[in-house]
Amino acid sequence: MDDPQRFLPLSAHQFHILLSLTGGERHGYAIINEVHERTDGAMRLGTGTLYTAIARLAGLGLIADTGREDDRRRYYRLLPLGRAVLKAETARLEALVRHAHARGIRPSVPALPRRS
Amino acid sequence: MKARAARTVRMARALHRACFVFVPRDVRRSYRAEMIATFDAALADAARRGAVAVWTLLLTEIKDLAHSRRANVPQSLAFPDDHGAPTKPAWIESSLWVQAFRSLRRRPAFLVAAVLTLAFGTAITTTVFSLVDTVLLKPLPYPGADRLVTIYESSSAAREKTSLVAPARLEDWNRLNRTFVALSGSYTENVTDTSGPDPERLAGRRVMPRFFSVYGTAPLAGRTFTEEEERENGPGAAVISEPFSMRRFNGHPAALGRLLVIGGRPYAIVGVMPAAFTNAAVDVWLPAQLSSALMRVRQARFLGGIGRLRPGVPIEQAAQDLAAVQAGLAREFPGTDAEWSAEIGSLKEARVGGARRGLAILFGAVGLLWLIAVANVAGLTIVQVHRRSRELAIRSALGASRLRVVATMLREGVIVAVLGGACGTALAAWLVGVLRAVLTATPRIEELTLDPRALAFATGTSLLAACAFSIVPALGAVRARFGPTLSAVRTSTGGQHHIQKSLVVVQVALSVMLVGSAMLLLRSYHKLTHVETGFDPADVITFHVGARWDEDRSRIGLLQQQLIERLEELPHVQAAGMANFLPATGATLRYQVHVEGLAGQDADGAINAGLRMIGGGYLRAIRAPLLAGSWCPARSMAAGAPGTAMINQRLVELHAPGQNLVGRSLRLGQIPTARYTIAGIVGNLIEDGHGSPSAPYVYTCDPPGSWPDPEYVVRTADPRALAADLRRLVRELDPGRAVFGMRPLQEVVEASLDRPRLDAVMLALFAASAVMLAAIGLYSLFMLLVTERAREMAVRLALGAAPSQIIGLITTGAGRLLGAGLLVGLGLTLAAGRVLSGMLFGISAFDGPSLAAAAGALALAAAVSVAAPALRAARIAPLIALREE
Repeated sequence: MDDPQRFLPLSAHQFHILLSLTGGERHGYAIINEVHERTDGAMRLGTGTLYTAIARLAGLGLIADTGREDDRRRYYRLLPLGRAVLKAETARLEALVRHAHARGIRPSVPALPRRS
Repeated sequence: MKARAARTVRMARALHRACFVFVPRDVRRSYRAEMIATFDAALADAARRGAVAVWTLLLTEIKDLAHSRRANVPQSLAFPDDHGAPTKPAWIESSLWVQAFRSLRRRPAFLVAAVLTLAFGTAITTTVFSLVDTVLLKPLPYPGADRLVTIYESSSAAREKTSLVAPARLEDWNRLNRTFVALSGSYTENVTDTSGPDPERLAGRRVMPRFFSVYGTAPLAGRTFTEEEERENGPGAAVISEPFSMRRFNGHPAALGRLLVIGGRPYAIVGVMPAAFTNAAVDVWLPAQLSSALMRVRQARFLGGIGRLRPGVPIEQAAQDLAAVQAGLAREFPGTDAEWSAEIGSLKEARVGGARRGLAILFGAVGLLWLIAVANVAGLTIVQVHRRSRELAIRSALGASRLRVVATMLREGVIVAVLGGACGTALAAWLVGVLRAVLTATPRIEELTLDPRALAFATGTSLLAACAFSIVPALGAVRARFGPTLSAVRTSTGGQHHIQKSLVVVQVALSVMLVGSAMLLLRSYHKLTHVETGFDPADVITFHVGARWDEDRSRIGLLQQQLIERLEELPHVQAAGMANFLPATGATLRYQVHVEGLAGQDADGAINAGLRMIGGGYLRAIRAPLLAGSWCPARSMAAGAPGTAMINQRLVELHAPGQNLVGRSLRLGQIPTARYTIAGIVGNLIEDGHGSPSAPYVYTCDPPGSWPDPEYVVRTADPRALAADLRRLVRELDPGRAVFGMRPLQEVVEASLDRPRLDAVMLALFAASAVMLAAIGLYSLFMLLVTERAREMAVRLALGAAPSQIIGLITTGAGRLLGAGLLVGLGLTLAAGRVLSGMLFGISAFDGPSLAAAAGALALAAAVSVAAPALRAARIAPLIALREE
């Protein structure tokens, strides 16, 4: 079994893509829409970013193509390693936030990814 | 409507697919069809919401595709040991640079703007400094060049104060002085070499003894002249130039020992001088071998003198020394030497002095440009630091030391400066090549290379500037972590706005000045090209036929007469003639002219007038208008006939308005024996160049042979046939002579416009660069303002302000700065106009259209550069902007 720590840190895009797949199988456009809604429009994945990230995540064995396909779109699912990495990343981020809180850093808004 | 929507969708799909080139190849290969399908689905959804949604989607997609390569790079903080990842190996230190670069790549607009600004600034500064240094500052390419001086004679009594030197006097000065290593001299003599199958005309110089040793340059091959070769009736020897040896003998080793045949006499090539030895295009140096008779004539002045001072002797002391020597000579030869003295000047000043003014203006312009460039990089960097102030504060809050944060910014600054320097160096190398090809008339231009010191200066200052402007605001941002909240960072560096605003005002002002000055020169050039020339240069061909000053005048006279007669017999030739100098070529003889019955402006009743020696149908060939009287009769071509002359209208207007001067007699002050009858009056030609007011001119119709090497002019309907006919005629009439320098008269006359055109174009280039830089400055300032005031604008929008009002807010601010800049700039332009006024023709320095154009150009540039920030402000999403705080 691969060490999930090896894949850290994840990019925000990768994190959100993995997060979307925890709800079950999705095709690319569904992932885009879900991330868009979840972040209140702050993160709008484009096809370039999405499929580059999917290619990498699939290449690393974090997600897999289900083989199901409709209207030229493939569905993807989260692999156990992917879930483990997602957990490890969440733990890492939590640790970071704890460190920040310990120093008295408490931003008034949740740290959503910013629009570039 | 539906068809239009369908067209938009089709175009969006095509654009989307075109951007696949940005996607990593493996991703593209495996996911292409899916990416298209996903985009189609998104597009279908967007199309239901309307055209704006389609465009928004397309723009986001294009931007996203362009950035897809970094989609796999963690966007977390750029400090490896800040985010709790396993300890990285030591090489990570070097990858901090990679991270800095990636961080920059995430902001391509800033990166491109900053790198371009620095590249532009570096290239132009370096190139122009190299130019100024090569032409003005660098010593001439001779050993101990600062000790080389030009020597002329001077007489306060003579009309032309400075005169060439008489060989007899030069030898006396050389013998009697105590401050020179040696003196020598030379004169131009274009010769015809008949050693080859066709006669070839060579640019030659006859040199006095010691000529090469005064310059001190060693020959590339062979030797210079021996004492025996310098003597009267000595053996014929020639030293040739490197370019000539390449052209004729394919290199200098093969040239040594070959024979040139000049004037029927053999000259053995004994040496080859390197190309840098002379600034003029000289092919061959021949010993003057002056006759002892000529050496006794103390009034034959025809040498350009050159001298080498002894080490440590200042020019003034040498001048005193020669003055003392000349005083002695005046006692010895009171008749010929009493009124004359020696005039010494630095050789360098003589060679490059004329280019000084133009180059000084260029240097000033480039200095301004460099200031603008540096100011812009400062502005761009400050904007960046502002936009990232929150990120910086988070980093330092998360424990990154101040040093580390500053080091990050510093790394980015260094990368920008290095990229800018590299692009700038490449650009400068290219520009130097262009200048060498274009500025052929500038002295010493062939020595121009990229100056490493200038390059070091430009890249060094850009490095310093980029670093300083990254560190200072970064320090401010880091300090802010002690503030109550992170959002307070936003206001912590607000004080810099004044600096930034002043920078923008200064940039606008300087750009206005450069554009205004360029416009003045361009309009002045335009006026110059539309000056009434007074003649018709179209369809006129000019050429030379090789002839020497010391050859038999009756022989060359016969050739000239026969050649012009035979040319005029050709069916395609309308008229043919000759003149000693062509109009607008900068060459003129001036005389004191006495016209019968006229009191001139002088005390002794003379009129100062320019003189052209003409022959054949010269004035008819160039179609000068005959206003009164008749052309010179053809018989005046014959030697011994009474002289006739033409005068121009200007002379009549100035000195004899309303009088009929035709038929009166005229004589030249300096040559009392030369008497002419005025045959007719011609219109004013631009003899002294396009920009000069017409002056009185006398055209003397002299017998053939009076000027051995004149400019022949032929008006022909068929220039190509003329070239063939001409060579045939010259071969038939006098086979040993070369025909050369064949050019359309139009080209010769327009050559005098090269300089003003070049000045105008150079300044226009600078002005364009300055406007571009000022636009970048405005853009970065307003981007900063918009970013900073995002919250304020969001509140306004949330409270119901229309986007157009937000745009109005931005444009008003920009308009105010622009107005201030324009005002200052127009003032500067007027001041610059005074400096330029000597270079202007036909317009004043207070030229309305030029000023208006300058103001208009800047207003346009400002509108373009403020558009993006204004639109961005209007698009601020209230919710997100507010939440960010």
